[in-house]
Amino acid sequence: MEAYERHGRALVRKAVRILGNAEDARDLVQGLFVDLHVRGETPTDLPYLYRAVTNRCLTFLRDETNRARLLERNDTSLFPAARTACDDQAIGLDLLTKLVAVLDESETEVLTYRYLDDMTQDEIATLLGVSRKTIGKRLDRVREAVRRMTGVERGES
Amino acid sequence: MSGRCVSEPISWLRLERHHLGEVDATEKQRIDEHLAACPACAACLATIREDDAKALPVLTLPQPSTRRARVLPFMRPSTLAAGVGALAAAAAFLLFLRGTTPDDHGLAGAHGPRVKGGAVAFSLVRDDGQRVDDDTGVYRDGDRFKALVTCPPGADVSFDLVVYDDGGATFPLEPAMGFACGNDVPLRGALRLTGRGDETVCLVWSETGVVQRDALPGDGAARACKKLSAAGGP
Repeated sequence: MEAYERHGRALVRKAVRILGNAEDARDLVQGLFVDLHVRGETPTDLPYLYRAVTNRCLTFLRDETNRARLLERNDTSLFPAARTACDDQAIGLDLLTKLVAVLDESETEVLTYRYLDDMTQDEIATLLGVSRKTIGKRLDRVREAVRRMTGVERGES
Repeated sequence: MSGRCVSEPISWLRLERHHLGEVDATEKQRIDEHLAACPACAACLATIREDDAKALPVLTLPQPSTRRARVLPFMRPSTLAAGVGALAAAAAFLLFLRGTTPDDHGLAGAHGPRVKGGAVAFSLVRDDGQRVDDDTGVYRDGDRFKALVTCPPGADVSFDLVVYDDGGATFPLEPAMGFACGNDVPLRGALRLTGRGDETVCLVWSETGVVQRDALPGDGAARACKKLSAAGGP
């Protein structure tokens, strides 16, 4: 499948940033393309595939059995360090799994784009097809959840 | 990647699209100017380029569906009796559960009940795309396999994978319930074989709910097996 050849590596890298290990990331990306093939879909748009992988990863993380296994296999070196000074929070798998349990789906999706993919609010808004204001509100809820869990008070961007 | 971005980071998605040449001229110039001034983001792009040099695991897609599943031979008694090579290795990451060998359990040559209206077959595919279709094969230390299952579309079957080696049985994958049957449908997850010993990988299935691991090997579940021997031998 041409889309897999072209975008597979980028999508695996994306999944690794969420799941923290390469094997589960590869399986998840392959599973996506198998499902697309079965449904007869041939998307070539990387942002669309990015969203699909993100949602699959988050669904995977919501499963308690998967979470426990991922934490056992977690390679912390695979998580990106924070490049931004305004959202001074590096989200690791441990914190991410806890946040997934308390945030809703739209919030966890925004969380991954902001903290793991380093997207701006404008980029996230464009990707999701919603307003920047909506993204801002979701991020506020994410930050509040992070603060509650880490006990860290930080300034907002 | 280390260090802080000099301003607002270039997101990973923008870096990926820049790397793939999917951005327009204006966006490319904007990103290039940022990268020239920002070691943190330049390092991220470097990791993308470095990672892209690695091989991408071969994608194994199900065959186009037909009204009936393609029926592949499996567990042919004659072939199994021949026992082409004893196989494969200790799966280091697998738990070793003491037991007896598949042959001791009468697995060799066993035919379980067939799924109504068709048959079940499976093959193993290495990350490099090489498929073990026969009942015997060879693996290299560290090889990673996915299991592909062919079963009649619409069949209500639960699957599991069991690996037998020196007296032990292990279950490397999560049980597959509610499996969407078809041709060469991959089971979720993968298994890695390590070591230099012989292994037998069996697909087991049940039409009456989840495969009972505690009861294996038993008569309640059907199975198809492949023997794998380590390259170079023990």
